[in-house]
Amino acid sequence: MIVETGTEKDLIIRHLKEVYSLGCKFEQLNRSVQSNSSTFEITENVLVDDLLNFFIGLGFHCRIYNSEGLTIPFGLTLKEAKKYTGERSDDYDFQQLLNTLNTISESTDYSDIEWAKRLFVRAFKKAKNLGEKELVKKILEELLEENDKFTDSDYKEVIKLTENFN
Amino acid sequence: MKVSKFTHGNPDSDGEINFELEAMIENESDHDIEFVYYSWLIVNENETSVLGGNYEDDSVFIGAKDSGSISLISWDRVHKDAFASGNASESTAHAAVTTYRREFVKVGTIDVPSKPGEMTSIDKKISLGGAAELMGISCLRNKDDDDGNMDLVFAAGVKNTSDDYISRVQITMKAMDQRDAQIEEDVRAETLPPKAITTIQPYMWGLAPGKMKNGQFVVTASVFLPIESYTAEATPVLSND
Repeated sequence: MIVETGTEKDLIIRHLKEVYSLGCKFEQLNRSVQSNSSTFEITENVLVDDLLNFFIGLGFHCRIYNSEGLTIPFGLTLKEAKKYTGERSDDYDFQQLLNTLNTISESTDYSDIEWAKRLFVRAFKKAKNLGEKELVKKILEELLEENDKFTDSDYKEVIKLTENFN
Repeated sequence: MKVSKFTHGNPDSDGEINFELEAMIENESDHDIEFVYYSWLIVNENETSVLGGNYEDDSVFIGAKDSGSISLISWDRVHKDAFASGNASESTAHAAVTTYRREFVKVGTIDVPSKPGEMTSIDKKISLGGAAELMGISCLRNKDDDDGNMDLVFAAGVKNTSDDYISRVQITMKAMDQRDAQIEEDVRAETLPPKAITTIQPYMWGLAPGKMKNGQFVVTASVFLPIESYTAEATPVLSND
């Protein structure tokens, strides 16, 4: 489908629904049209991000969502978006916690040490096997090395609190 | 909420400075966080606004009593001329985040109108998570299209009976045939300020009457109710990237 400046939004909504099973909601932005390009071809290889940016150029904010109402991530093509379910992997919680711990350990001045300790204890608790426990321990050691506010006694306290976890 | 990362880049060849801001949220509530609304503002050394944004994120999930990271700024840029020093080292970000839980409600079923001009409905008020009220749903069959397919307009009025800002109220309508196989679906959502009313209007077109004989429309609703609001301020460090 070729979208132009004057294309009816209803036609775009119908096209995305019929071809890609995607919902779409437009909101008018409070600014004038500034698009560099006056036409855009919607194909299955188009990135959601590119499509949304084209609409922004036309003066509209647009949310594209799946049949569960979940917003489609910007980096997907329309073909990928058609299959997007938003399902989370079994270890989603653990991975998210690891990301958080990595962010803390990369920061040289993270100051809320009590909170950091609590998160590490939680991560040890969630680790399902020795490999995952070792991963958490490695990040804890990095924090000890990088952050002066995290002392040896903090490190030992976390290890002591978690030594009885299976 | 704690800001875990706030970096700025050096100006690129166009003079644009890139920012990244991440925050950690400790969910102390008994509810899972399934939606966040966040907004932020960057001010320069004179505490004057130079860049801001507000977004919603329904891909986030932070379990009850758990912690998680959210990315607030990932690719937003501002020109170096917005800062007297020509770089962003003395800027400040103000961030605000509200977390939401999701309440899911099975609303019921609506019969398929047997001919154009007929209306079917769910004639009762249904509580949505104790915070909003669904004032019944109607399904009006417009004139069939040139191929003899149905054109159906639904109306679902929702009242926010609480003092909370409901960031999203969502109605999902599934057209099921007599064997309970899904033929079509439509999902629509709106925001709902305290005490406000909104009308959500799912729409189905091109539905073959034969396929929907003895079929039904199955209706579900979700409301996203606030759990907690947080604010934070931070000064960026130069990115290593």
